Amino acid sequence: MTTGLINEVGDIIGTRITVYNLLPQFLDPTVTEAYLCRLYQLTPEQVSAARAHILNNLDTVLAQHLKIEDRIADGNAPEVVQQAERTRAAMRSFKEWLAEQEKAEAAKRMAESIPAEEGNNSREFPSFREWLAQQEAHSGEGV
Amino acid sequence: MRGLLADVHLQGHLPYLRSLIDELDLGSVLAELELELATFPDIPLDPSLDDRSLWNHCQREGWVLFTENRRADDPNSLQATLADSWKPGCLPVLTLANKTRFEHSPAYAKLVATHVAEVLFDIQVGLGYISNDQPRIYVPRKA
Repeated sequence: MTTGLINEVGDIIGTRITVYNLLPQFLDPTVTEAYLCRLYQLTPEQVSAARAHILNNLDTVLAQHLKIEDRIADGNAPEVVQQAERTRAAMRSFKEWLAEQEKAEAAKRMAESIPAEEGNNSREFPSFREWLAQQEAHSGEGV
Repeated sequence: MRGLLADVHLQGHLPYLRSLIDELDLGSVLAELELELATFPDIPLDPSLDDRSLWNHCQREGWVLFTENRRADDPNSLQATLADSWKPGCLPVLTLANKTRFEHSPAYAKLVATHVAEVLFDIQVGLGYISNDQPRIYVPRKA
């Protein structure tokens, strides 16, 4: 019985989960009902109702599913892909800077024989703006 | 920005995403920028919230929504909300392009984790290379 568990647009009532979330997993032979219940915190009755809703409204559900797939296939705007390398370079640079700060802090702790916990408590990282200023001072790093 | 909020249908995937981010040594970057990875129960939020209310909450509270966006079109769907409410300066929504591949392929999942971290970094640091003027960003950028 789907009555009371699934609404007319395929939402599992009382959740944000739709039959369209579950459809790809219903088509996956490795996915069990127990897995779906655990992953989405649904009851077996809710999962069964979703399956029944799909079977009872196959044309509508498949048409909407294909529409969703088309939207996803369109993907990102070209600039998102084009600009990604700049972000990646900046993040790599930030990560390296973090590692250097950690190393410097560890060396300082060693030199001053400060216990690690105490050192962590007093650890002071520059703000991002300070980090960015350092990067700009070195310039040409792609940030 | 507070961080990434996993939609209800991805909250079961968030711990894996978090472990991938750590595995990729990007957890320290997000932690340094004080970015959280949260689920609905963490906030806490009503798990039956409609898309429009959720999007508005995310904009108000500084969350980048991580969603699968597989909902039939209706006036309060995410698609409709982005079309009539998004404006420059709004936080983007991250959409997982292929949950099945995320669940099956560690290489694909690592790509998702990397691109999620990059978008969060891009926004938090104020670069905007990939996040400016994008209502929705699909992760990974290229499937």
